Amino acid sequence: MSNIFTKRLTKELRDLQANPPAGIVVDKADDDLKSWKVVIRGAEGTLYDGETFKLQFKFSNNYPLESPEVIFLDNIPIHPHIYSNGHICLSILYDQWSPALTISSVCLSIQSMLSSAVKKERPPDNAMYILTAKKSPKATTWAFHDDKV
Amino acid sequence: MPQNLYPPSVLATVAALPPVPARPYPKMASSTQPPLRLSTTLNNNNNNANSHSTMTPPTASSAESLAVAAAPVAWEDSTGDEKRCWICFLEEGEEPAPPITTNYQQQQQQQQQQSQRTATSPPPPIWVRPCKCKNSLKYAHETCLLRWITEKQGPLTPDVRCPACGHTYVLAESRDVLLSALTLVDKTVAAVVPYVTLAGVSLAFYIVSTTYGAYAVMTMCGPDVGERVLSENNWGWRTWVGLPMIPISLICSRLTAADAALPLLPFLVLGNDHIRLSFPPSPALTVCILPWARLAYNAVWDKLAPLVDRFFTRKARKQGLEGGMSGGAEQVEDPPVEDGEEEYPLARRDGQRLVLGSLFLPAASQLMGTLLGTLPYLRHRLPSDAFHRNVLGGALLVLCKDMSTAVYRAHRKRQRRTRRVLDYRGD
Repeated sequence: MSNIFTKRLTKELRDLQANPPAGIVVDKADDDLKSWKVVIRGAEGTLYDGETFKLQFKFSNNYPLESPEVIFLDNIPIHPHIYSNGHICLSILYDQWSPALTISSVCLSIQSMLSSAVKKERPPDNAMYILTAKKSPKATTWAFHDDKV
Repeated sequence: MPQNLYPPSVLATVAALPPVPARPYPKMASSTQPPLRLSTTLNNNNNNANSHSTMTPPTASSAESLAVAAAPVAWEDSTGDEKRCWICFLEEGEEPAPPITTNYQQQQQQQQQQSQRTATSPPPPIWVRPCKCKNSLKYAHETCLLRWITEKQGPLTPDVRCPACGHTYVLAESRDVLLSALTLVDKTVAAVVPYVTLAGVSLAFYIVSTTYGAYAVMTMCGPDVGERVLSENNWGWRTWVGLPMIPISLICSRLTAADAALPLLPFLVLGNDHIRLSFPPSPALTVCILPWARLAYNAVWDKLAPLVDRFFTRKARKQGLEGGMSGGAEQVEDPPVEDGEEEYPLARRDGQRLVLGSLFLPAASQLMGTLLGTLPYLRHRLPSDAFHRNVLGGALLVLCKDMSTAVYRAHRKRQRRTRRVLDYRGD
């Protein structure tokens, strides 16, 4: 199992470093590949144009069968689907995860989620959520009701 | 054989090769059907699925790995000719494969070794194409896909769909009578367990209640009468129903919700045979009268309580004025607010108190009855048997308790009214 884990993540890392998609840079990947930091840049012509954000990926040994734990670190974008503790409400990170998704495609999805925001604001239940949320967003039972953003 | 997976040149090579003997099925203990396999649309011939080592001709593998090494393919743009597992992302030839030989005889030897499962080299991975997806999502290793299916499968979701095209994966798995029977047993046990648990808990509750009921009878009636009441001659269905009702009725007697049911309950449980009008009332009659007495007492107390409260509040106020409680306050005025209009935190009423208080009533009544029996003046005026003495003791106890609660409440009120905030006099 961990064999698949290592081979697949090595492959993804090599691919991301060789042909990085626009505005996505791998900042740091641990030697055991279990924790990555990826910097994404807000797309041009959007509310987040020119801003950079740091994403933290954490992989369990069951990756890619299990989704990675993805949160924003430090400078957390103000967005209706991103809580101020860095948790991201995005279905593909939780129950809609598929092993066919990659770190690169997850970053692109998050980038496009940022791009489609029409107003910089926190989720309406932010205050309540950050009080009750566990450390890992995967411990939350998410309800996805907005297909537009 | 899924021939359209290979470019024409490879097909030509395969066609040129002499036919390869198919491996026999691995023997299964209790089934004649093939072992667990993903049935694919392309490959529904079980012979082929099992003799998979024949599907990867050495020439194809080496040619492909060469091509991959020369020019890495961007998978999103690939034509689907190369196989890459959409789960582990390994391409054909990248997996740990058995050593590739070009000599046909060597290859045959190798296959014989594999058919004997000598386990020194892992078997080559089996590729499946389980759904409608194309390009990079077309192929997967069977082992990877089975892991993904296991991951997604739950007791409520036996069907797993492809996350991309939504096609439900079709699984073939061995079935035999023993497994079906054991599965049935497993499901039946799972279905029955909650009910058995509920029945066990209810039975335990029933036994505890009955035991408590017997204890209450013994406590209230004293050993002699108690023995007689609980003797085998008198033990019938009424006892089985009545004894566990005792603790429940005691607890309910603290709740106004039970006002309607309690007065009728003793008549239903005891039946006509035991109830005779007599004086002093027989134990059975007393039990029937008690709920009515309770109702009457509650009604009287509801009228009386405000008077008692006012009386004790005044008394306490006077005491407070005389006793010079006003250490910090200059004067204690008569508060303009009438009694009962303000909310005061009083003795807590909670469930534990209620249950414990009502369950201790028989023991406390017996204690009180015994005390009454030892008082020299009362000894000769009270009924001689333990039961009546204890009932009187219990009644007295309830009265004392209500009175002390009223006094407590009145004094708390009084204390609350004398409350003042003191100025800070530091500087």
